[in-house]
Amino acid sequence: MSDVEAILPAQTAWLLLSAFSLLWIALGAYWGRRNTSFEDHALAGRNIGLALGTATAAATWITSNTTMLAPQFALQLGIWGMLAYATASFGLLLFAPMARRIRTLMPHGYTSGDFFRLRYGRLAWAIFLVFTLFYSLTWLVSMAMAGGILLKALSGIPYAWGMSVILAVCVIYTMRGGLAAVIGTDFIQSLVIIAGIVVVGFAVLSHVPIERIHANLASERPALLSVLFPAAIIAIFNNLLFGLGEVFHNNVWWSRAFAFRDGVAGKAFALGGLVWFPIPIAAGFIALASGALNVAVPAADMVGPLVIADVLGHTGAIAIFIIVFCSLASSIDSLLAATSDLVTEDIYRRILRPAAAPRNLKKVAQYVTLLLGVLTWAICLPRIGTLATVLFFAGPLVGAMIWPIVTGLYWRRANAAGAVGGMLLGAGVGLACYFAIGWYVATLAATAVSMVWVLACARFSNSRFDWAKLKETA
Amino acid sequence: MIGWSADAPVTLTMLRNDDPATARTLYSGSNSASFVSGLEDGTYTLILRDKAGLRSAPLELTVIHQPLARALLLVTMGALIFLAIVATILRGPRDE
Amino acid sequence: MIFSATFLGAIVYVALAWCALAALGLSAVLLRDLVNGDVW
Repeated sequence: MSDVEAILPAQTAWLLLSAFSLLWIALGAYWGRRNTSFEDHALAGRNIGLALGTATAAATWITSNTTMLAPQFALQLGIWGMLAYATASFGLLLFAPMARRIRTLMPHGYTSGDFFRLRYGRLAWAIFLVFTLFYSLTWLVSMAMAGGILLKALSGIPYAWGMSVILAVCVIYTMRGGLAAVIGTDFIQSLVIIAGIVVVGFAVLSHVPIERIHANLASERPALLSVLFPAAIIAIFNNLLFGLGEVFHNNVWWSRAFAFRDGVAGKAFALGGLVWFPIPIAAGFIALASGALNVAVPAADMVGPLVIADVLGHTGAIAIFIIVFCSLASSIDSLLAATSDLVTEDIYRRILRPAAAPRNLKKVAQYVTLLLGVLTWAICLPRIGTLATVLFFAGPLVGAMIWPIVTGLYWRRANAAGAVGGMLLGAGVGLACYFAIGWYVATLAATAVSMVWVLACARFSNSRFDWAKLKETA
Repeated sequence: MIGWSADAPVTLTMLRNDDPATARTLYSGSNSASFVSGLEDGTYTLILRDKAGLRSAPLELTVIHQPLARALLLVTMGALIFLAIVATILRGPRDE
Repeated sequence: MIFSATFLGAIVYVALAWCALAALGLSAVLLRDLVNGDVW
């Protein structure tokens, strides 16, 4: 990425960064005023409506990966690359019925940790906490790093500054406003992102029609058009299962299930998934136009911004900057909020201080948010390049959790032995495959092994779980 | 990703299987890298040239795609697991 | 076998239109929720 000149002057970038940062912080402070208890802070009053619910489901799942990586995938893996990426929406779609089930079973629930603790006991809960905190932290770190890297690539703002500002802004408004601020800003961010993608997409098409893009690909990058492009096909289900594992287990999504109004949860996730589905295609195809537009691509990860800048000039550069900033903020704030709520509820309240007063819990959650932000910042600062790849280790971990969660929600026969074994064996085999074969089979292997173990334990189980045990009151 | 170092603008040309008839210009300018993708199986030769016509040593590139059979095997496995998950969710509560 | 230009055109235009509809739909639902006073 080092050779590409910044497409946006640093002053303009700083201006945009400051303007949006002030907006998010002001909104965070304003909406935070409605929060008095930990429940308000963590679950926004348990009354989120359909509009905000749908927008937050979609916006949180749109990360800078979606907007920047989709064009890169298209350029590397062609049409199948874009279509495969779109299947990540299935996580949201399948979580819709699960969210309804979660609300039925756990009307007073706070976190996905609560589910593991009550459904499977302390050992499974402990393993779950290790897995989810590893995933959440690596996700947070990779997003913050991406923020610094992208701001530098787009505008020349030094990595340490860009990364620190994005992280600081997200920490501040998440601390002040809790989940309400996260969800409220998500709505604005989702509209900005989607509108930006539409405008950019049509702008590209006005410069070069589909026929010319196709002809250019056929002559210069023919494999990208191939229906049986092995590199693209090989990872489809591995990545799909990674996506399912991420959504099914993480408190980012469970907290939303608990925060949505009665009757909204199922619809919001389903609609959110539908809103998300076309985005990798709409954002990704512009990379395929790079050849037809004669845009030089010195680095695959810059193809998106380069095409946009070529087609829309200065305005395009501003547009991509804003889109990227919004996608980063909409994901970092959610991770901060959900992870601090998980730590506050599962570790602080349930393990360390069971007698803690409710009003103190809100303060604890805010401090944990700050702590998470500082920890993330400290890890990101040295900019260890290979850190981003650590996120891929999470694939086997989250894949191994799919079957314990799904069977745990629907089958009384699913038991702790199944969950514990499924998670440990699945993760173990998955990680072994990661190193022995490749990243593209790791999650697949983990899910397969976990499935076999969980199903076997359920098949031979003598126990029948009593769903009433999940209705623990606050 | 093809990278190079040069003091002046260069032109990057690519041939397929050493056949001059397939020569095409990949890039011309002062960047020092170019991202190439979507090539079919085969051997490719890359050459850098500057304005004066000086050429670099040719770079050989062999493209071998993943075996299709392996890809299809993984797709089948993945599809089965995925469908099993969907079925479990849609069937809903069991053993009530 | 390759994807045709028609197929590429179809998925791209459908995706863009779908996104545009999504943005409009989200705004409409928010307005409805605002009018009913039950955004959150």
